[in-house]
Amino acid sequence: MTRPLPSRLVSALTVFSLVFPVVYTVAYYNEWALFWFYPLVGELYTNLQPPSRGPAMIYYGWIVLAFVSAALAGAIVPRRWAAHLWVGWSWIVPLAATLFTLAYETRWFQG
Amino acid sequence: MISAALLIIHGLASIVLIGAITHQAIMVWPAKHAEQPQAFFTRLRSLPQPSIYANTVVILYAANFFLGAFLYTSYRVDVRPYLEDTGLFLAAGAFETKEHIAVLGLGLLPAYWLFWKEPSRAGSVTARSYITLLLAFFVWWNFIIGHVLNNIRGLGL
Repeated sequence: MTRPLPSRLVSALTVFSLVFPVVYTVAYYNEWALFWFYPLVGELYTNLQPPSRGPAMIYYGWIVLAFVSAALAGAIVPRRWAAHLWVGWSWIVPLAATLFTLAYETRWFQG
Repeated sequence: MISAALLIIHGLASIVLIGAITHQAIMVWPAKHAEQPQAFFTRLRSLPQPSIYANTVVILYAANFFLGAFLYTSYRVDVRPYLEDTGLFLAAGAFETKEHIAVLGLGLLPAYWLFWKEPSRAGSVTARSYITLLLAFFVWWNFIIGHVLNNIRGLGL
């Protein structure tokens, strides 16, 4: 018989997995990021740089923004609030983010 | 050369991941009727400790994700401009969905791990099934797109 997980950890993981897809989806839709990475020069910037720096990558900036936001939410949301969350949100929220993503990216396929 | 080696490792690791998550997805797929105890799928679905897969899947998924994220710089610098210049927008768009789906899967891992380690709350078993199926879909989606894109010249797309 394994020991039950600490309630603080259960609460934090639950909230993390709910907040992460929402923040990531909102971030990439609005192109909000903590930073841009320029792979040709290997440097991070908090704002866009001239084209001479090469292609800009916003992907890492979205991931870090979503990770930090979800980790903070997991740390500060009280356990009793997290305990009252309906368990179904844990798959409905990421499913909704997935469907939104797939629908949004059809823009690539429209002439 | 290092990128090519890492890409091969990424591909191999994804095959191991796809095996683990597919097996687990088959286990949580609801049975429609009473199954024969000796039937292939019955035996496939009955692991003595299914939660042991959870750690393996989390580690493999995270390793695959970070390998892919590292290789993404090569894609962004060398591959994507080629796709756009040659009008292969279908391929470029498919890769965009791959990168987003990979991140959404990463965010799903804590809940996935939690529900396999502690399926005690009301409705957790159902949620665990849906999360596992969703993660399996993510892995298959990314595997297929990654391989089609990797072989795009050979496939003549």
